[in-house]
Amino acid sequence: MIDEATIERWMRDANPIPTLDDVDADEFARFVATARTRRATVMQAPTQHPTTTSPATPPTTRRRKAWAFAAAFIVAMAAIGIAALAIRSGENTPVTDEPMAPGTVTTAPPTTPAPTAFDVRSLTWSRVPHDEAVFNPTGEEAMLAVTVGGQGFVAVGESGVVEEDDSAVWVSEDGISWTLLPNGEPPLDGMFMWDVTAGGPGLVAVGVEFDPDGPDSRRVGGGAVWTSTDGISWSKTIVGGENSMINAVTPGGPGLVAVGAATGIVGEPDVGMSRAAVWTSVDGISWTRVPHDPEVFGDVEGVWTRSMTAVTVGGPGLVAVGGNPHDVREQAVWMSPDGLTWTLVPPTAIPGDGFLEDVVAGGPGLVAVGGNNYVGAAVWTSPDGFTWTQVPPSQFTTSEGPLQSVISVGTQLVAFGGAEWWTSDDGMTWTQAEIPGVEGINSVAATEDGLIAVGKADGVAAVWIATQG
Amino acid sequence: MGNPTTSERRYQCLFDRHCREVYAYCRRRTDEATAADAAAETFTVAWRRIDDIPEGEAALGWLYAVARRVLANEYRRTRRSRRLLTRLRRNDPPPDPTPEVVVVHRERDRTLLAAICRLRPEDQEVLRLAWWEELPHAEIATLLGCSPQAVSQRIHRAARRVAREFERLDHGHIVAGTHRQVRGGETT
Repeated sequence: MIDEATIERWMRDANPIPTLDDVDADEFARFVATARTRRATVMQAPTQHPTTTSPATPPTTRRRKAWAFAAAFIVAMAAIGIAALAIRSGENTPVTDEPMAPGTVTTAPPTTPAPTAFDVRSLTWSRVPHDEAVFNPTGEEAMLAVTVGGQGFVAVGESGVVEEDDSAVWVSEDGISWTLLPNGEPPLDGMFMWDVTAGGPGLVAVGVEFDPDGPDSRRVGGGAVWTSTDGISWSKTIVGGENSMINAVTPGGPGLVAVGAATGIVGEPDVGMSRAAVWTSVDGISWTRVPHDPEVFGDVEGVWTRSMTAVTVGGPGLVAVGGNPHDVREQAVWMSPDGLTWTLVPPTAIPGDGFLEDVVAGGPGLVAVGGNNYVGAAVWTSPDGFTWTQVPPSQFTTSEGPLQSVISVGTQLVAFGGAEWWTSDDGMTWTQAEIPGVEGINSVAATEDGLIAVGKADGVAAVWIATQG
Repeated sequence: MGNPTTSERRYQCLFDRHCREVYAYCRRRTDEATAADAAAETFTVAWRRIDDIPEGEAALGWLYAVARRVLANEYRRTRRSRRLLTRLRRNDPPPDPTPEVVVVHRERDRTLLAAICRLRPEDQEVLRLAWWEELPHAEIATLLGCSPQAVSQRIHRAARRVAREFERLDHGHIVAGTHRQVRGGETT
């Protein structure tokens, strides 16, 4: 084996900036200008220190938006009630930009969850034995999301074949023995599957399609949805139009709601995926994009910096989090009563200088997780989606980085980020634990008697199960 | 314009003294645009937390710790677009260099950096702090919240892991090639 002194010498040789004199002068000047501009902006704005209190009384504009939102909520719910009596769900409609009439609206504030039969803190984690043919056949596999469904469990992500990149689906009956479905041919020839949930005809996965004929860096074919009745056979629909990406999906609204990023106008060729976007579906097969509203979804040019990253049923109906469409440095919360009408929560309602990665119904109402630039992990809670409180950052001083995902497990909450996992009974007080041998957890799902997680270990895709004892 | 406050003076001293180190720290770990953004954000945090920053040489460690968080957050926050960009780059002829190898072209360096990337983030960081930032173990210990002895052990273990990963990635090409050259030199 190569000795430590050789590794040290090689690594010193590989230093991209061997000395401070090697910093490129033009690059450095650009950084200094950026730093000055940003500090000037911060000095003009009220300083945002992490806080444990709710924000002060909302300004007039916020109250006005709150009333507007409440009115929209009432009108929408009334419309939904009427429509639900008159409209039958399940009809296949083409993908369209027109607002869709809601079918059977499943969105509702979640009922109080029942305690599970286990305490998440008592779980013991173990990694499913590695099988190169399943988890790393091309060296490009990544398991990005997992759900309970199909014939047991379904995980989705990406795979690779020679000169191609493909979406990937793994299935398992028991969580221990997994099969990678054949890919490389339609419909499993997309680019990535980011998320998967039980819903629609059985299972619905979302992601992005690759366009091999696209020019240079704009080879993204568009947001895609895959559906399956059993987890084995899949169908694909290109939903998002050119330059779009679907990040997450949840049952709710008229049936299913997916969120991500897109151009302001579907088909607009010259703008990156710089606007948050929502798609809805009654059946998981036919999808409609919620009409773009620059005030809500953003109107700033840029690529992939502003998008909705997660969505959940909760609050007034649905809550989504992601990048603030009006300021790349800030993050945002959106709310909707029905998946069809959305409101951007004022950034001032989210205390602390951080960003939100995921959100779930739980704790005092809603719990969002993410990070900030001073303490790695950050958690916010909200009773209604409008007013947010940051959990004291002092609880997360031992964290190595931001939290990426959070799930409700009965009355408890579990949040993940990198190799860390945190648990809470109420969303306000959190306890850290660690899973041995983990490089990163990408997704977690609750089972009847424990948890199942997918991520990366030893440089390859991996699955863990957590059970009592 | 009024006289600068004590906080402003302190911030300016801090910036003048350490801006190059902080930028280099970020640039060693990511591409130019992200490095500029992360370094600027680090000093924004410094301004907001000016009263928390320790005096003297310890200030640089504090800034490194913030820069580390900022980069980690940036990486996580943009993980989807990064994954997508990586894929797009791989399909572009010719491929763009990945951020960390912008100025590194040699095969051995690429393999080495790839091997390092296979380590846990905290193991990668301890090696970079020791051999790229050239911080003493005591300062690394403060930065990572462990003892100097633990830093030494972590460096040793991380280096062994890098060696293993390097050999796995290299399949013996570079090392064998080096050995062949040495043997060739000896025989001639």
